[in-house]
Amino acid sequence: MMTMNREQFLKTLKQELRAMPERERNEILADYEEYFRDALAAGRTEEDVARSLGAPRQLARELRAEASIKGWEEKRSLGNFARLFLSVAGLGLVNLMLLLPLLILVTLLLSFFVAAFALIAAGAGLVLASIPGMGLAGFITVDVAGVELIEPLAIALAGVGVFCSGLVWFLFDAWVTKWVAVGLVKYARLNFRLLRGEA
Amino acid sequence: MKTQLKKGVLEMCVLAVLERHDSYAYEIVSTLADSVEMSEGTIYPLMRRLQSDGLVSTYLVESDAGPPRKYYRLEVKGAEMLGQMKQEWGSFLEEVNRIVQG
Repeated sequence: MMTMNREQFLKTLKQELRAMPERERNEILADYEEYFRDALAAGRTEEDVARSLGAPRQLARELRAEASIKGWEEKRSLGNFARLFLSVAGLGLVNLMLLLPLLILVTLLLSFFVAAFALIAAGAGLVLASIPGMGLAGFITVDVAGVELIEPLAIALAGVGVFCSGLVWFLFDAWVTKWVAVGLVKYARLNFRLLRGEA
Repeated sequence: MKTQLKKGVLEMCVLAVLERHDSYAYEIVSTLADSVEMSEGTIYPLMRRLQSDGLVSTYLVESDAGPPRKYYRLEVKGAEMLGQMKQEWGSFLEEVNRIVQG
């Protein structure tokens, strides 16, 4: 590894953390600046301190993963899940054997969400179509095993059924996603701990 | 074997240092570095995790020269966690000793 001085170390770290919110990035940089101040006051050289702090790129990966875990724990949104997934994958510890099944799983989860929303929308559409005078009845026909539903009540009930099945899909998918995230967090932190101690 | 063990108990050691008195990053590392050989840079990802888990909190103290210094304080939740870890560590040692020493 190239030997860095204080300025090079902080510059590289800042560069690696550029995707982070400014406030958080400045806080982290201030932390490492403080560390340099204290270490230099204790009589160490800049190069020695930079070396024992470790590679800024690896530090940035861990700091980013930790930040995305925090984000997910604060707000369980699809965007935060994506950030969590990417930062854990970015730790460079997920090998190909693990990455492929993970990608398939995440793709499945995503398509389940799309299917659930489609069912919910279709169900709502059917209920609307069953209301006389909406003018939708002429466009939408419901075919159940070869029999066309024409009764508004039958169409409305079919709509409620489709809507609810969409809702069930959605809740099930959200539940599975939550547990995948729990697994990702565990895996990431396990690897932090393993990395610690290896300069 | 020795390094693997030390890695596993690093978090407990940091909490134990803070139990004695509030401290700042360089002091924590210096206290631990002699015996635990920790990688110095990882103190911050670790401290940020302990902080977001509510085990420690931070405050700034003005210094005579230069910007203020960040101190870490053990929170009630952290003290509870430390107590639990110490207990587990103690019973683990006992079991191992019983096997090793016969």
